[in-house]
Amino acid sequence: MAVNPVYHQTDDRLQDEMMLIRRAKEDPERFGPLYTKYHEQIFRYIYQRMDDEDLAFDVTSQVFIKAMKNLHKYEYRGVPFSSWLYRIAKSELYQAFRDRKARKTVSVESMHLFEMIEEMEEDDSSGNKKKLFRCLSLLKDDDLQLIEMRYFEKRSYREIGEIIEITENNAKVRTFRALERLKKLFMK
Amino acid sequence: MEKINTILDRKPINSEYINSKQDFNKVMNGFQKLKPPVYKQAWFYGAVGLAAVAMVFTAVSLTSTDDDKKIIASADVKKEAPLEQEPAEKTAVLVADLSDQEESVPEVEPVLAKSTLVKPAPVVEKPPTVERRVVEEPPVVPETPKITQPHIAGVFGGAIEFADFCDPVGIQVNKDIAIVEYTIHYMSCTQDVTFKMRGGKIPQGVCNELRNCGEQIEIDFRNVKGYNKKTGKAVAFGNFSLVPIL
Repeated sequence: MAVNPVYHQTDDRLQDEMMLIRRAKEDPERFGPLYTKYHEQIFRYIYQRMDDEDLAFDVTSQVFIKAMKNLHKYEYRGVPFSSWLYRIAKSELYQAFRDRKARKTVSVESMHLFEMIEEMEEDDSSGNKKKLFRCLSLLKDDDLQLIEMRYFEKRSYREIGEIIEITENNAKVRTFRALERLKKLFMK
Repeated sequence: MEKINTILDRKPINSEYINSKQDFNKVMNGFQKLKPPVYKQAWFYGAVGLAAVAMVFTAVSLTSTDDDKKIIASADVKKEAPLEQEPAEKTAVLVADLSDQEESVPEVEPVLAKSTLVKPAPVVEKPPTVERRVVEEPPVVPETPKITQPHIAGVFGGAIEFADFCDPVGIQVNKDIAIVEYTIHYMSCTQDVTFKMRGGKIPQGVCNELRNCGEQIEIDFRNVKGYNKKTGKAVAFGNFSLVPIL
């Protein structure tokens, strides 16, 4: 399965990014390049889980405000800056659900459903697609989050682990279990 | 379980549209608003704390003034006792400390104890010098405190150099106060002398008599009165005693 290419960076790019972070720490006005670089990724992550586009843009702004506020705490210890932003985004997203009564949303493409049915070794019929689509909304939050990141957003297990703050292996195991639970719901 | 909204094949948003919605200024404004207000910053608490300590210290020093005056009075009484009972050095230190605190006090009506007859001391040990009375530690109050007690050449009580005592300047308080009158009392080698003087100068006759006697005589200054040059208000001061050293 193809993985998110933005996540994987060369050493040179990482060094450039560290330089940008250092500058932004010294002067918040210089956070601009980081904002420009990650705005779209963070927006898509939020919009994927929210039904209101305007609210998604607002939450995205809030993520970067929080990132600027807490930037002095960020130190590179193997977790890329993007993963750190995703953690903030996840937190802000849940805050938005609590405060603004925004609805949790799962945005699925037909292609993703097709790939999942293939993974389950079932027939690619329209009936199965509808059934799987319905089963997704019955999953628990944690399971749905793993399925979304792995199958809809094509993230690597390592990145998933960094975002939800678990190890790569643990992310792999949990994703497998989430898929098993989805299968059970599907078979009922 | 909370119901989750599921959307199939939602219309994708292109990157150009998302990028057009980028607004770093909005983010910067939001960040500025997140900064803690002045009253929540550490330096503010430090400044307020220091100011509070300074105010408490000032208040304590001001309220203790009356008590200090009583202590001065008792110190004067003690001084009138024979010097063998009380070492001169100890008394001088006490007076010096109290006079230091007195300096920070604005004009206050005197509440000193009534003076008693002064007997000439048979033996006077080497008295403390004027330099010992100078405040060595910087005062807490930033403004230079005004002297509010009468003195001659900076000596508020006890031993004084004869030349300083007979200096034409005479009794002083501070530049705002002019001495109007005082009563001088001493026991010379021949007689008990008491008379009232206009102004703050020491009469030349007193100096001559002291010089002729050749003894160390305690001079008592009572009913010292003056007026404030700025306000015109009459001010009365406490009694004090000096022992000119020949």
